[in-house]
Amino acid sequence: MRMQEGNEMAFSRIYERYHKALLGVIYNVVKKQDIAEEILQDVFMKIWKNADSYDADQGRFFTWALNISRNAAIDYLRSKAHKNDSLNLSRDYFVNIPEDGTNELEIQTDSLGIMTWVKKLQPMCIKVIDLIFFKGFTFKDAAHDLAIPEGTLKSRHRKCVQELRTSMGEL
Amino acid sequence: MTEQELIDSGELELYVCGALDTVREREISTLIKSSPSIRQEMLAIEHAYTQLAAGLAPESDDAVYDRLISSLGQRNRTASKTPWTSYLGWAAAAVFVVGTGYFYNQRTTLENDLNKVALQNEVLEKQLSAESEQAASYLVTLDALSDPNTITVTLAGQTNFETTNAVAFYNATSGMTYFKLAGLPVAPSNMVYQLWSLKLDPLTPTSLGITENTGANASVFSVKNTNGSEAFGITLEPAGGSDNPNLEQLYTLGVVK
Repeated sequence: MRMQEGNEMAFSRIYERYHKALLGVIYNVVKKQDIAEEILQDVFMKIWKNADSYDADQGRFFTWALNISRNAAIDYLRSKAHKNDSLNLSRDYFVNIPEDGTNELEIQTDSLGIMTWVKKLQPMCIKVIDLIFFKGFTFKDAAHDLAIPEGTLKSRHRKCVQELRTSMGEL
Repeated sequence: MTEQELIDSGELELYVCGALDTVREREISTLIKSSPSIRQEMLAIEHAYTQLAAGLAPESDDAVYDRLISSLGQRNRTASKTPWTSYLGWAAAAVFVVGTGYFYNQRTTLENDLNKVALQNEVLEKQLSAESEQAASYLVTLDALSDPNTITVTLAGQTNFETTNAVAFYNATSGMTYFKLAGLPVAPSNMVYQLWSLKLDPLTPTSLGITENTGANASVFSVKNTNGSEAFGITLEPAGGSDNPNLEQLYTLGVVK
């Protein structure tokens, strides 16, 4: 990967391609834009510094960056700064979209589509996607958390993603 | 497991989310490389997830990107120094090693040259010293010979030695007499020429000294002579000289006029 050779141009392309998705993942956890952007900046600095440690045989670059983002966001939640913040929000964003309808968080997103997509998802799919994608559970842990067999979780997860792709017009 | 079975299994979705164990992740990475259909399905899943996540992102300006580029620029400026100085360090070390060898050789060569030159210098100094002494000697001799009080006495070859000759430069005032023996043959081994100052009436010889060698290249030399010489003679004598001249070996004889 060119970025592993310290190519700034390659870094810019990667930022352009993934920054919004990673910001969404982080924002879903920390729920504050300024904090999410700070964390996103840290995440990309880590990506730049640790590009050498990315192993293409291990998985997708997006998956690697996704892990860094989730961990950074969760680290923030565990931090003193977050615990001292009286305005911190307890409710998960992604999983509450169907219930909240229009809320203060919705206004801040740039996509009306997300509401449409997510509202079409079955509640179980929202839970599964939240655990596996946004929270970074392994499928074994997620199966345990949801109290369903691992095989069932695998197939259900796939069905949920297919529903999402259908909503997005990709299937 | 066929390609379709893998696609239907739901593992590709888990793969994109990073929810599989490391071993399975590596296996699927390998399968993705070898199968376009698996890769296409995986990319579609990844796209769906990036779209979903991006949909949750708040509106954001380019501030984050600008701050990142600014930070990276500073890092690059800082980082660029490291390899440069590192290479310079190695280059300097290499130059130092090569240079040390080169200059060591140069130094050794120069030292040898210097020793040679010093030796030559020493030889030349000795030669110069000898030449200087000789020149000084010539000057002294020249002064002596050109002294108006100096009398040139030609010593002619005697019986059996008619072809020989010598010259004496006698100066009664200075008490020095100079001899030039170029007209005498080289003395045989164990024999020396002995110089005599003579009083004629009665004939009284006084030895002025001996010289072991002579020949065509013999230079003028001086002896102290305060004997009121009336004539000079040169005889061939055994090594070490004799108390009285052997007249049978009288080579040359000349009278002071």
